[in-house]
Amino acid sequence: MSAGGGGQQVKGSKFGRGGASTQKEVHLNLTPMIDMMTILVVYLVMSFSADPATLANSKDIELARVLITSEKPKEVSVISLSKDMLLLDGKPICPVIINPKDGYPDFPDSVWSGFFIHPLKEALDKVKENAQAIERINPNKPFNGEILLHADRAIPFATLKPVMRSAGNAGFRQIKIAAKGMN
Amino acid sequence: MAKKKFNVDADFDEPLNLTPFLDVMIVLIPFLMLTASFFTVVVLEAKLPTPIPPERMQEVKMPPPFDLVVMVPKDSIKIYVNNKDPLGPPQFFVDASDRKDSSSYTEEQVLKFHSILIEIKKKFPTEERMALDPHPSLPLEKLAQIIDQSKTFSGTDAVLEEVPQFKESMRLFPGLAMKGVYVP
Repeated sequence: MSAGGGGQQVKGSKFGRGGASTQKEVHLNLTPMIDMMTILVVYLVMSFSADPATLANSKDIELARVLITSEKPKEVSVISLSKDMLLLDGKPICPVIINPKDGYPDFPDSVWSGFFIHPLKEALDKVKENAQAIERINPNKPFNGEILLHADRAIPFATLKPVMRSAGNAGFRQIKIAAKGMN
Repeated sequence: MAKKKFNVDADFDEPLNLTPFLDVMIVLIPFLMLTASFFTVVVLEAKLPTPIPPERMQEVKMPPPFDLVVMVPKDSIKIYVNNKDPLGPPQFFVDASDRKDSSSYTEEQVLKFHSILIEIKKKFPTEERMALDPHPSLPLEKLAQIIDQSKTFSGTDAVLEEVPQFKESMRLFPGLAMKGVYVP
């Protein structure tokens, strides 16, 4: 590398008409390429943010697309609902099955009473207890009952309802639905 | 004692091997590009209805002074404003029969719904409450589109130039509550 930076020496081939051989040193200037790569890496690392919605993002879940809303997600617990699994903060809660009666995604009878999804409610109760314990230690971080619902765009409202009810019953009444902002 | 003389020029021609650096970059960039998400994640607030405590039931005015209900069956969007007959025809209607089996509305349908809400807001500028009653089969994307169009004005709405108070607050019907998700 030369003093100017970014040079790789390449030995030149033989030039000249009369067969006279002259070896030339050709410098391949790598500076622009390294500059570009550095900028690209910094941009990509910055965009690789650790917000809850990005962390919970998966190939199984395609978010709904919206035009106006621009509110950004906060650091809250995330309920993820794909066509085959219900998760809370990335931990599996229960599988999602297809109801043979109506063909909608549904929850197994063993976990669903018809009103709540029991394992989800129990897990959310623990999250609430932890949040309230944090609030007692640090009043600047109050428990405000917010939860992020990260569900696939094709999930019908009938499947969302028991999830919302379970969250509401556990004290999470501020349900935020994650979506793709198209504006 | 003679001072040791450093020959700066001796190190000057030493080539810096950039191969490992480029190798790392070539692996790192595709990895980051594949894992990065290039869209913005936004959140739509969906409040659950809060039950009124029995001691406050006396304060509740029946019928309510303003009652905006958006019913969303599979093939349309029905909007009722202060409707006395819940089984009667809606005051406003957006036809979506062509999107019955689709997971989303067209932009025209969404904009028509938004413009109807603007007309209602012009008549009742101080009201912010709205009840949303979706059909069980309604996909999340359609639900999200309705919530998205109901909460705030869009920056391109012409009414913002006509009514300065709307431009100031940008609030359309943010007090949106989901019907049918009653939590005791």
